[in-house]
Amino acid sequence: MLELLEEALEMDEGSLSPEMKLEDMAEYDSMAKLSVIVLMDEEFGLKLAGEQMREFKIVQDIIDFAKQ
Amino acid sequence: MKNILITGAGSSIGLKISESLSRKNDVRLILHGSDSEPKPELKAILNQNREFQYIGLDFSRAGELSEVITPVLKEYPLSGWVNCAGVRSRRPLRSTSVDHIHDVFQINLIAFIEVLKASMKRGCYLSGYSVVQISSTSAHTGGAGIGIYAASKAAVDTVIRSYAKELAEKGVRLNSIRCAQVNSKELETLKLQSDSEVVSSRQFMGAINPENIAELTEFLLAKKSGKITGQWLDLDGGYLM
Repeated sequence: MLELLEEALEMDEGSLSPEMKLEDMAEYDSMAKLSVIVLMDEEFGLKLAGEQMREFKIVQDIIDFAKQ
Repeated sequence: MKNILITGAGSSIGLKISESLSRKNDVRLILHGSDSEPKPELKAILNQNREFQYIGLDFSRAGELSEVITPVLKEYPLSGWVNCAGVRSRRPLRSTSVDHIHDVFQINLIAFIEVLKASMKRGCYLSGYSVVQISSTSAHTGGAGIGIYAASKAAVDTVIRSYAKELAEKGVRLNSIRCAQVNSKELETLKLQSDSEVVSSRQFMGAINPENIAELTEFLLAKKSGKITGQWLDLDGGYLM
């Protein structure tokens, strides 16, 4: 999952960890958020709304959403 | 009786246009949706009205559209067609794939051409036939994360202009309404913080409501707009000023 997120966020392999705060990540911009929405849809068949996305605080929150 | 086809009638904009046109006594609606049965919201609007026709067909199967639609149009030749069907995907370059590009163009461009072609068969349309495409200002401006969507809207607007010239001698008109940000449930699910900022900073007259689109659509379907064809009308709240 971390690898998929790194790809969506255009981050180097191994640079992402679950406890990282999203608001501190320069890579987590509006286009990255769109990429996460696409990732959830294509890889997990999950619809992620902008409102839900705004509730994510750390990387683990995204991982938890994917696992639901 | 005027037969009006509304494709994508289950969308927020399609519902409002269907509701608006269903109040007219001289209009018979032929409604299209991607589901096999009309959505409950659509049924609710139309149950209080007279009989209507429903075509359930997924626009992603563009190659099958003509076969399904032509027999209906032979029975109910069109005075107007409003195309609200479309896919409004947002995805940045990094998430774009060949399949995604194909899917968006299949629904937003190829399906439009296929239905137009079917409606132009002998006996499928009446004198004064008017086609209204619901498009987007992004066809002009583009936008971050909507490259393929915007390209598909620009493409359909461009074919509209070409076919307006080609079909003018038959008295057929084609126009496009380019909407800026619309208050709709579809947009709500895709909305990001930056969208609200665009409306407040550049869309001076506020977000567009489906009612605004329905009113302009009615005008373009009517005889009073009989000299307007091949146009892209910006319904943008001042966004492009």
